[in-house]
Amino acid sequence: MILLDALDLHFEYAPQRPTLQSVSLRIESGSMAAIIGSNGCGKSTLIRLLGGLLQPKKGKVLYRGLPFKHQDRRHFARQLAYVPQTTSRAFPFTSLEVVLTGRTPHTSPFRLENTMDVKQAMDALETVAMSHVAHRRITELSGGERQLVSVARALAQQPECILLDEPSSSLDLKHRAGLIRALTELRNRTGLTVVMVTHDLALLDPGFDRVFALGCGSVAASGSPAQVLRASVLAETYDDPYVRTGRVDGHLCVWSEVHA
Amino acid sequence: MTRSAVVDTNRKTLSAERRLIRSLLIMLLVLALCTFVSLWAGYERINIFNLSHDEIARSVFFRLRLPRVVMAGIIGATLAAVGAALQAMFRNPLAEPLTLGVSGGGALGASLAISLGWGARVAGTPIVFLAAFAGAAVSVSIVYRIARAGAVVASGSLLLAGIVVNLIANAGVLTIQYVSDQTRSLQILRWLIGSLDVVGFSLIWQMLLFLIPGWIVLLLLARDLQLLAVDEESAASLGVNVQRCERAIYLVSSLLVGVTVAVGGSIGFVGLIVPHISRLLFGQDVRFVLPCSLLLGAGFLMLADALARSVLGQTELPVGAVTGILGGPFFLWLMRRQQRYAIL
Repeated sequence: MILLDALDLHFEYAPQRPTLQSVSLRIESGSMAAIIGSNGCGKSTLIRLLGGLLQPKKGKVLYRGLPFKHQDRRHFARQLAYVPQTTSRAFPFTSLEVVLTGRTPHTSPFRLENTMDVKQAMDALETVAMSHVAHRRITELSGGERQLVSVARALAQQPECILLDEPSSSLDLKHRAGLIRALTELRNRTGLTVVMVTHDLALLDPGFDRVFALGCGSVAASGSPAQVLRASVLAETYDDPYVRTGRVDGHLCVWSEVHA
Repeated sequence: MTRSAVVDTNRKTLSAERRLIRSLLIMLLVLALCTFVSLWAGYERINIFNLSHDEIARSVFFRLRLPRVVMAGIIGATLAAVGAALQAMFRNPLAEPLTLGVSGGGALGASLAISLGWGARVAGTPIVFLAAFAGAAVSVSIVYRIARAGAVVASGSLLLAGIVVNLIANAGVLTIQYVSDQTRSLQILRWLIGSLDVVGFSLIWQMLLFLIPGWIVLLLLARDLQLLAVDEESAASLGVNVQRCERAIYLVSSLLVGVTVAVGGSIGFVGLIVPHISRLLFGQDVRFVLPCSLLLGAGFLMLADALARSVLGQTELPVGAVTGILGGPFFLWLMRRQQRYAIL
């Protein structure tokens, strides 16, 4: 079943300077999809459009066949969660308080969270292996820890689809793999659909089902990781002739030559 | 064990709703205490025993002392609640009506109205209220437009824009005062100094007509504000209509601050100090901070006014001077503390 269907999306932040042109993509329910591409090519814009946080200038996004505007926002937040690239840390909230905000789509407007909500928030933190920071202040956490707390907040929404904008950019080697492992495990167990903007090409194969390569504001290539993550395709996507790929023990490696 | 760890274990045992009720009860108690102290304090100490049979003492108490304390309470509550809301919305712990230029704009509007005629009304509403509201609304929209370059509100430029708008408004007030005739000029000066002097309750009823709906809107938006305080994009993804919420807060803050400025002049820093004390007492959650600030703000300004009334003996200090002397250094201390988080 098609969960998210983007049809011919156009978007521009400033007039006459299109960020996205005629982008179409389909995301199957229960699949894991990655959006890759060079810096400033519109990946974050695309994922915001998919999450309904921005409205396209032209085209539309269908969620379960329905356009966004016909769905109540709060109701929608029970099905689809979005993890922004960076989050604010103006106030020293505890991690648990941040994760608990993910429960708001499920609680009535004039109630506070009950013990069940707290339990679900703790479970979400456990999923990303961050339960030890539950009572620490987000202002004291490292960038990577904050990213994982943000993912936990989205998981606390108990969504059927999660959109992540470079969730692993500040994570170390172990936590990068751990995050993908946790998401894959959730997909297998609950049928969670995952859409992730990422630069971590080496983590996409073999777990991901589909990779969309964005180049100059439109989808340049799409397919399975094996089809897209090839030197010829990547060289075009990133406009970089020094891209190399190879396999080590069956694992795909992608890099760009420094001393070309 | 650190203090925060003690608080955390406390939280685990009490559900959030019971904690909120407990916090509000404590604040009500504090408010009652502040009310009692400020009713008692002043140049003429009020003696309960005298009230029952001394006609003059009764008159002083019910026509002057009680209305004044109530006035301090509603203005303090309003400024503190608006401060808490603005801090959450802009995700800036240094935001408050004064630092964002809302008070300044309100003052300019009000002095314009005074120079044109203090008593005029439109449909029963004092024109000073409307003018101060308009002034506050204009300045908050200017400040916001300047600060919101692109997609995010830049913290530093927000405060800078607020301070510059305040300076412009102050210059405007001075100009109006200068070109007005002597009686009007004196009226503006008296009002500018900011006094809570009030006779009887009629003005208070008029104010409450505007203030109570404003308070209710702020309290209804507390949950959305909590989500915005945590993170704007996350809030939007959780179903908060960010634009609608922000517009509601501007409108309501301008109205609330406008009305208080029209009556009491611009009283600074209440909206800064009180939400911070609430946070220290009850944590960061806006759904706690906002209602607690409302109650604590009332008590705080009552006490500040009691201090202003009694500290110099027979002469009175303007209450704005008292909050300024207390609040200015507090602001600087906060700013220094915030630098650790690189807010400015």
